[in-house]
Amino acid sequence: MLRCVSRGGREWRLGERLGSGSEGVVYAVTDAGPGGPLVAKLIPEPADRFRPRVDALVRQGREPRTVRLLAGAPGRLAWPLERITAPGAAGYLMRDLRAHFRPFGDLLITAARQERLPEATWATALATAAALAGLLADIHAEDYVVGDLKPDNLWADGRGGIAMADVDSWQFTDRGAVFPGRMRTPGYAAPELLGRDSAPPTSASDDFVLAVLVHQLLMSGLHPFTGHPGDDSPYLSLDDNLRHGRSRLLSPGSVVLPASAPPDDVLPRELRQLLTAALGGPGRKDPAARPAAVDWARALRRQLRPERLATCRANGSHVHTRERPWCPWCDQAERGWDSYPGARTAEGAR
Amino acid sequence: MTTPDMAFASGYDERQPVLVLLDTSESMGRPQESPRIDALNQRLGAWFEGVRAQARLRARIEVCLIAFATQVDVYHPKLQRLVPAGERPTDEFFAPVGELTPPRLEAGGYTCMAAALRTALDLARERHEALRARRVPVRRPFIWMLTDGAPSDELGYEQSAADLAPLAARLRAAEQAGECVLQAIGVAGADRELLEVLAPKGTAMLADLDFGQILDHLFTSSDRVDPAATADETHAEIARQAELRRRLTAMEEGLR
Ligand SMILES: [Zn+2]
Repeated sequence: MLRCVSRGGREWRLGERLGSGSEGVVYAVTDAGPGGPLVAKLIPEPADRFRPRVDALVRQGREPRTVRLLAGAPGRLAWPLERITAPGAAGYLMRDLRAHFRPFGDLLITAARQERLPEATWATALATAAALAGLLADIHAEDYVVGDLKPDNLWADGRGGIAMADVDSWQFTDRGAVFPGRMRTPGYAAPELLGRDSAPPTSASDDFVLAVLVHQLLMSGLHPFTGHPGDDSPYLSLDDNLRHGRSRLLSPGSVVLPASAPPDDVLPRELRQLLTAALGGPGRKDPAARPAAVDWARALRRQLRPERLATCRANGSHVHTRERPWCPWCDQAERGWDSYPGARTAEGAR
Repeated sequence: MTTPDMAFASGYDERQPVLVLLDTSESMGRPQESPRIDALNQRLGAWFEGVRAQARLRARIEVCLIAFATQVDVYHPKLQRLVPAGERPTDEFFAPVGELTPPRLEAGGYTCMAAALRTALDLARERHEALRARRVPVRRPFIWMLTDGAPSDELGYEQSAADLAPLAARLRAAEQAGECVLQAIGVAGADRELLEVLAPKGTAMLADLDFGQILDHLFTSSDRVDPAATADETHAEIARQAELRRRLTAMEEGLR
């Protein structure tokens, strides 16, 4: 039987091992009580940098700015609730997001979406993008920086709801002490954070990654910098494509994409302009030129209005912007791949 | 610009080929009461079962399994059996990680590690080139070798550092040209010095991890490595991740 103890002396029993990342392991808490399901993240000792960070976040959890962020049910953040210790380990308790959410990646990858979120349509993607932008805007409004924003830290409910975990990697200030964000993930870092000895993250670097994630959501998982270089130079990585500005969004000939990729006019004009501003020339070079999360939230909510959306006559799972007179998903299906085949046909599709 | 359909496991992610070289020599049949090969088979099966739930790995990783003892065989995922490399086209040896059911391996024979690495280098380069020619955004292949022994030739004679030098040079050149990254993992009884001849910075002794944890480690750390990093930087990062993994494993054992 695994046990851990919170600072007040309360003992918690740990059950199923839910997963491990590079630095910690997450377990379900089996006796969470009436407050709802909890999980425990544990990292091995020595954890000298981790402990003060967790203590600061736990304290922050009671401050007005954080209370505002954590309001609502179900909450959108797996905030560190209490610091815990176990033999050879330090950690914290947080809400179990699995009660209401699924891993965000399930929304991006067609096969996973069909298996686990078969009801999701492009409107779900749009709503999720709006919720993510809204959450990030709220986080930035309270002076927090996520720093390592990426699909692995995000959770989605398949109905447009979003939640975020790994709050302990955020960048924040507590009682005058700065807790810097250190983590970077290939494919999910703003250009100014690429390379060694880069600057610390900022809300603008979060905004860059938000644009990447919005692109992925609205393009059925397609990363804005994916594709084989159009000039036939060797492909190295998403970040290398980013450095060279290789992206169908920014310059259609700069990459080669599979014929099965969603058509590029899936994007409404307003969102395409925002994406271009965020990821293209100005936003790539100048963090201040990027649309902020709050701009994204407004624009995405506008596109979510019923009068902005159309549903395909051939397949009720095909939802698209009204700006496009005919269904982009039918166009895609004609080329051998349907990102939104719908729940009924999910069985037959691969 | 578009090319004929090349969607993979239903995503548009970049592709990461991984060649896993598994030592199936006689020593893997030891210790008699719980042979390492049984543990390997069990963990391998469980790992590939578990990976089906991991959408991100499923969308980008394709695997080629190579088993080596006196002979070098490559697993053909469609035929579901081991065949000599030359017997089938290279592309057929690679399968999306979520669609591969590993074979049941048997221990026996010598440890023809050098021949296995030459096969892996050829397959890696051919696959890399084939995907590039089809304009798939492909990252340089990873070659991961798991062994519990020391390299020998087909007659069972142990090989020296001098014997291995030409292959070692070829491996370094391939890494520097961005053709692949080799990571050698030694488990119980492996000859660290000779592994380091083959993979000077890419050798890790992970005797205290089980095969499932080793695979977890390799796949998660490959996911975190900057694909544009040099082979040396990649080795350094994987070593750092191995240290973290070791600390995590020790912590979990202490909790039990
Ligand atoms: Zn349609």
